[in-house]
Amino acid sequence: MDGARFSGWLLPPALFVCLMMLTACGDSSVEVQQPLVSTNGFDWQLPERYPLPVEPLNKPMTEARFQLGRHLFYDRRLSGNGQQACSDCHIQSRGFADGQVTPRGSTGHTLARNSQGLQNVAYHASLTWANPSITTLEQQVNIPLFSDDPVEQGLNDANLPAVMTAIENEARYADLFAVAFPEQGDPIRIANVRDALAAFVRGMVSFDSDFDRFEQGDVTALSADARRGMQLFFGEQLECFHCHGGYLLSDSVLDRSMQFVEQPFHNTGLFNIQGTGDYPSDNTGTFSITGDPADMGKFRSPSLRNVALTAPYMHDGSIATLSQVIDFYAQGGRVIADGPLAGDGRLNPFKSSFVSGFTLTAAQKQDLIAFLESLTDHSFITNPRFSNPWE
Amino acid sequence: MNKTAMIGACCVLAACSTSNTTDQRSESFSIQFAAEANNVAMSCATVLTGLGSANSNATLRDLRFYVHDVQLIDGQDNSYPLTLESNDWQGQGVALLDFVERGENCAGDTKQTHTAITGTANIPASASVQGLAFTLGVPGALNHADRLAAAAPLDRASLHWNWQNGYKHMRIDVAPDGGVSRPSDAGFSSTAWNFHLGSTDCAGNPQLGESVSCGRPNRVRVELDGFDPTLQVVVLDYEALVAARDLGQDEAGAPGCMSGASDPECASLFNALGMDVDTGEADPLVNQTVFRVR
Repeated sequence: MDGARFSGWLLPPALFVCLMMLTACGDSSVEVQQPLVSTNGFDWQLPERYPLPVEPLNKPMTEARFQLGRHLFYDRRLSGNGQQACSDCHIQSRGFADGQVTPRGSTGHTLARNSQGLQNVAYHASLTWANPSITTLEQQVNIPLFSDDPVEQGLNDANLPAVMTAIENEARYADLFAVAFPEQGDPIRIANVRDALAAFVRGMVSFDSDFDRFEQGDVTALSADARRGMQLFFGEQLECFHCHGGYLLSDSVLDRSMQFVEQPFHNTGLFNIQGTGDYPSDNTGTFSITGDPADMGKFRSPSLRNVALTAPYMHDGSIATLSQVIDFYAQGGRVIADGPLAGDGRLNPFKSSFVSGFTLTAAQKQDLIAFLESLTDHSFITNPRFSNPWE
Repeated sequence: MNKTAMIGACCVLAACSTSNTTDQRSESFSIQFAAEANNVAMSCATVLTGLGSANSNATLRDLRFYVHDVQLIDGQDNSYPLTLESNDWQGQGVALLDFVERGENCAGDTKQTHTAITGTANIPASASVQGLAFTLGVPGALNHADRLAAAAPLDRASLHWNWQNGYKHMRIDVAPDGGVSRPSDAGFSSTAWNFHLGSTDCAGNPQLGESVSCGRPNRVRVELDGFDPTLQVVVLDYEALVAARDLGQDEAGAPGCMSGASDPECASLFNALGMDVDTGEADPLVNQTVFRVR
């Protein structure tokens, strides 16, 4: 397993017991506390066969926090200039990606990385494209809120008081904050904003695709094309599943049933600038955090759930379609002939051993695309639970 | 002589002794700091000249840094911890030195600065302070706590380094006249040459009850001899920090140095602070030159 950060740690067996208890639990008054897990009986609305995500002990999931976070997610007042909401770069109909190569922040900065879809992010062992240091959604939410290079939502020390005043002046928020944080006398605070956003995103679970129905025994849920594509996807010729396997269709996974957890990152040969293995210096992947030369160009495998909705692809949005992504992996990397980024990515010295190229017929490629399209959860992108509450 | 010694993320100065004599008195101290570049006091309003290897001119955009474990040292090398007064720039044993009189990269409203560390130390009547030691940066035990729940001085959004899951120990940003270009990339341009020092390569999931630790702490112990707090100031010499770099250019990575181990702009700055950028720890062969006594 190349690029894995952890040799693993052990989850206590109590977690697994807790998982078993929680799947039957729907009463919001029930409170079960186990090491590393807290719950107020939040209804994750998961199919029975899927494990629950880890929930921070001091950040319990509640429906009230989820609903508050939903309002904030869709609220442009939560930006330095009142111009941008989380939902402007995470659009429900696109699986909460945005269809752009790379998004723009509230003040016009172009970001270096593509907006990711947000389904099932609670299950990832690390968050954002390539950062082993960011392991909780509460940490992650701080980045779009406060980052100054590039500016995303653009909150800062100077504008925060006015932003919080704008939130306070919205009548609906008084009750939403009071119910979400009932133990606090003055709950309209930025820390609670952050925690509620994390709760909303943590609650964005999506396991209702044709593929899921097939996995649960409905053999008619997948077309013959998609079934052939599934065989290819999970086969040793294409090797897709090594990095995009499991129920999350990503190898960066963390849930309450796990005994050992890793934080894997992979170099897929998109670049090999001047043959040294380098990626563009503003987008070097895990290397930018660890400084380890072997981490050059390594990024987290995105979940392929809803992948048909989230074009363009790759961490930099540099591949437009699923068909082109398959061509890229069939080549075993990307050749850039000229310009400052020139290099043969197929020969990148840090490339994953599973990206070694393959040959597909045109019909096989269509089958593979049919399988990838079967990963779309249409109920997720239309579910009012995740929709704009201000409309 | 200036000396540096590296500390780990949690263990501080186990070898330093604190005097236990009975004639101790609690004495108030105000340790004055100055920030200068080529003998010009740095502020948002001043024009900085002759910076770096290309003698660049620049204006300041930010100049703030954290220190902790401040200790006064007597002539017998006994050290006495300074208990910091609590105010908007000091708390939890950490002080924020702040030389910018305007917010928002020197473009915002006027604000207070904080150029002296104030506090008290228990010192025997017979001892006289002749030295000062402090650690540059936020201590590891506080570096990864929730910034939004933190008290001053760890409440500043602009000093939190979200993507490294910690704080910027030191932030000095300048806008060189003519901007910053990249020899290898005609499309690159930046208005600022920034130095952000912070711990990197951090791992550990608080969600799972793990503590966070960093492969490169990037904190440095600064020890200054011949320091009389009643007469002298600690000078931060920005020119000494950037002397080896051309501030009009950036070879690679973030413009300036954001503590990247391979960022070509970082090595000489880390050396000036007495650190090795590869390890994120003190370089025993290098004395820091950024802080001195005057």
